[in-house]
Amino acid sequence: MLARRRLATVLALMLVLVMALGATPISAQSNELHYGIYNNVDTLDPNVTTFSSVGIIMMQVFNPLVYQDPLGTFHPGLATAWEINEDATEYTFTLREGVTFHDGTPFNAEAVKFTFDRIADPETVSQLGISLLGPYQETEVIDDYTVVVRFSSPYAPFLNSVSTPYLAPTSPTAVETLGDDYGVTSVVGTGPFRLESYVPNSEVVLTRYEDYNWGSEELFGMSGPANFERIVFRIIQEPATRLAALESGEVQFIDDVPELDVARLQEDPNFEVIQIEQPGHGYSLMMNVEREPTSELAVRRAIAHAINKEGLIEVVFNGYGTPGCSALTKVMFGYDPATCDYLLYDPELSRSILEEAGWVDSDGDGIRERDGQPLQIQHWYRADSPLNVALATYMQAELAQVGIEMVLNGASQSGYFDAVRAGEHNTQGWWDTWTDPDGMRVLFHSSNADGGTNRNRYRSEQMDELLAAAASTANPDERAELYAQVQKLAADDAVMVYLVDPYIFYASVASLDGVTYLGGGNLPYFYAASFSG
Amino acid sequence: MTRYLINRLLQAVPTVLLVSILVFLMLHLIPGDPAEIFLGERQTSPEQLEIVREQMGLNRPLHVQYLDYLANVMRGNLGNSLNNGRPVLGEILTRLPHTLELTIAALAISTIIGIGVGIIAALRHNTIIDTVAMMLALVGISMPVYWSSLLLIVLFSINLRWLPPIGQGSLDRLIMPALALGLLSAGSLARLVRSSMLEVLSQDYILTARSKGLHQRRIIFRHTLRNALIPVITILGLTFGQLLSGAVLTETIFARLGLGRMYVEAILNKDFTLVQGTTLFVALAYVFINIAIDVLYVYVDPRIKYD
Repeated sequence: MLARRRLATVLALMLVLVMALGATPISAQSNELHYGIYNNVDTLDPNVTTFSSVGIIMMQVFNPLVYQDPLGTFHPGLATAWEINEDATEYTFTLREGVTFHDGTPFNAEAVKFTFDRIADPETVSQLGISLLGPYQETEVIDDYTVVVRFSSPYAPFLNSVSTPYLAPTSPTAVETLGDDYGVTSVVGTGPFRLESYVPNSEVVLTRYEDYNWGSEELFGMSGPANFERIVFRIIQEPATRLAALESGEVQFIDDVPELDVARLQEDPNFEVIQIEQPGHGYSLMMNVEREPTSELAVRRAIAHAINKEGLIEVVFNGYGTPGCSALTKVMFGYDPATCDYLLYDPELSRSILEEAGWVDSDGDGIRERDGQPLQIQHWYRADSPLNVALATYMQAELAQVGIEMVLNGASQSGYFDAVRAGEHNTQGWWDTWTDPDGMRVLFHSSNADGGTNRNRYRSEQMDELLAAAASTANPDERAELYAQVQKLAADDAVMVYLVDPYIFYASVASLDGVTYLGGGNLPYFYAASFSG
Repeated sequence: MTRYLINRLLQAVPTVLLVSILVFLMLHLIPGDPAEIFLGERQTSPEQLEIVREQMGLNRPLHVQYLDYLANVMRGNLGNSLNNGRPVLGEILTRLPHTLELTIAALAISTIIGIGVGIIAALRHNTIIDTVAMMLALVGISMPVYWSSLLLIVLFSINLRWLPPIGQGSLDRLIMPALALGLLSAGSLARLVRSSMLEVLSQDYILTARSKGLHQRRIIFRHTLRNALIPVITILGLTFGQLLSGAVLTETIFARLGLGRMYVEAILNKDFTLVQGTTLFVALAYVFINIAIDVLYVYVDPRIKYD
């Protein structure tokens, strides 16, 4: 009896405690933005990182040489003017004067040279940065505020490259004084916010750089210090929690809103959902052309015709997205609308292609055979991603309809990399985001075919030549025509299946104004953002 | 007692050493190269991979890597994380207080609810109260932490707006994760306390105590509970360890800074130094908890003596 009374007292006390704490309202200071960010941080250094989440954070801390908004349109950033020579091997930048890094180091031509040379140095182990730097040769300092960047072969995508935070100029003094700690404990840029603190797996805190006066009036309507005093990026990897953090007022902005919750959030007047067509490359299926049976063109074509993309978008993406047509999403420069007529969903055609190639279901088990070999493909994916699992099971069911057995090999990250880099897969998924069509090099160029990113293991001299020609063409119309040929060739050879062009979803409290979505929507930029009312 | 303690501590040394060797070997045996994982999907060339391997110190023979590591540990240097370059010891120490806080709070909740419900169920054996209590216990055991966590968030953060769903460092941010984690072990604890109590209640000495006319309260707390608690304490010790590792899910869902979450990320990234350092810490924690439990026995049960 007594024990029960005591328990009741304890429970009552706990309830009181909860209610007392509940009395303190949860609200944010109006001059501080809390951003619930999905992905983690590997290093703070945007010139080195592999993570686009680092790009989002560091876009606020660094200034790019040029801004890009919308895709294909460039505005002055730290460079006030630029000139490109005929074959895109030489870029001359005129730099803004009077800019200082957060540590007081003046920004000048030397800093630009230092940044590019450092990224190009293999010891730096730059990831995104070095891939964006292309066939970099050297940077020549003409005077304090003029540099010439040279490439060993033509490189038309470079202006896009320098619009990203991954090639943003970094303070040479900070890199030299901090040594190995640069990127680990601190980074120093010229942006509207400076790094205050970083706790791995938890948060990155930025504070306003008070001396900032080189914002782009043209793009943001202001040039002085940012509106927010602080931005706190809180790493919340669990989607449901990220959403709960927004709904409970703990954060005012989140990225990667789960498709399932978009509709509900759109109806709530307290929140705003930002929906942007994702640039680059959507979700797709890579097919290994070196391993049987996907080495056979007929089998690859049959796979491409067998998957109902509309259904996939309904089932896996809750209806958000458009059927993939090309290796470029529909918002990309160079995207060819004609691609939507290639390799259409047509299970009957898929079946007849297989029949013609001699794949027949002779034993009535629903799986086709030829010479006693079942038509079986090995699909590899990372089982720790629910999306990859959903995509894999959907495709498995679709392929079974036409008599192809897709064996699902779900693996951990390391097991997956081991298998697909060694080419043990027939198929694997891909997703990517870039802002220049030169990104297709990642998928189709033979130099990436040996365990690199071209897990199609597709090698075609014609493709390599087309990609090289497109990269060296500065004229946009001619360049787009070359990329149309790239897309045509990839479809003729049935290298990949493009499943869906997804949306990027952000959500914020309705009172948040003035966010700019740079980089085709990949980079929410908070320089001019503030809370209204 | 002192001699016993010194003995136990000395015995702990080979245990911890063995754990560290096993973990080291296992990390190297499971597939995947930390350098490749570090480079991720965007690996550009084999040369680049070589440079990363070199920088991570992975090109040296296995035993050299291990001995180097051990020598550094002796000097109190757990090395730097392969992935983010930060000192492992610092990373552990930043997180340890938050994980301890969570574990202890969860243990307290689990003990209070578990023992309380267990006692009530035992005293009301075979009544509706007993049935309901045991059903609740079953619910507690069966409810996955990630699910109960989300329910708590929906109720307390979104609907009632009483508690913040994420973060750490204050009491209001501790309640939900501690509840989610504590409820899980409270269920099994309640069942254990109940059966243990029932067993003791059927002993002859309880009958004797009753026939002596002792007060019910005295019988329950002095004669029954103390005897029934011995197996419970063993389980509590183990539970503490489980909670420490069970914190992984809770820490992820509530976006808490914590050892569990860091540990899992480190394993997935094959961040050798970080995994080894944390393992060493957890192994030490287990050893000390077990010793503490053994010492606690002496106080709960005077019949137990170590000499």
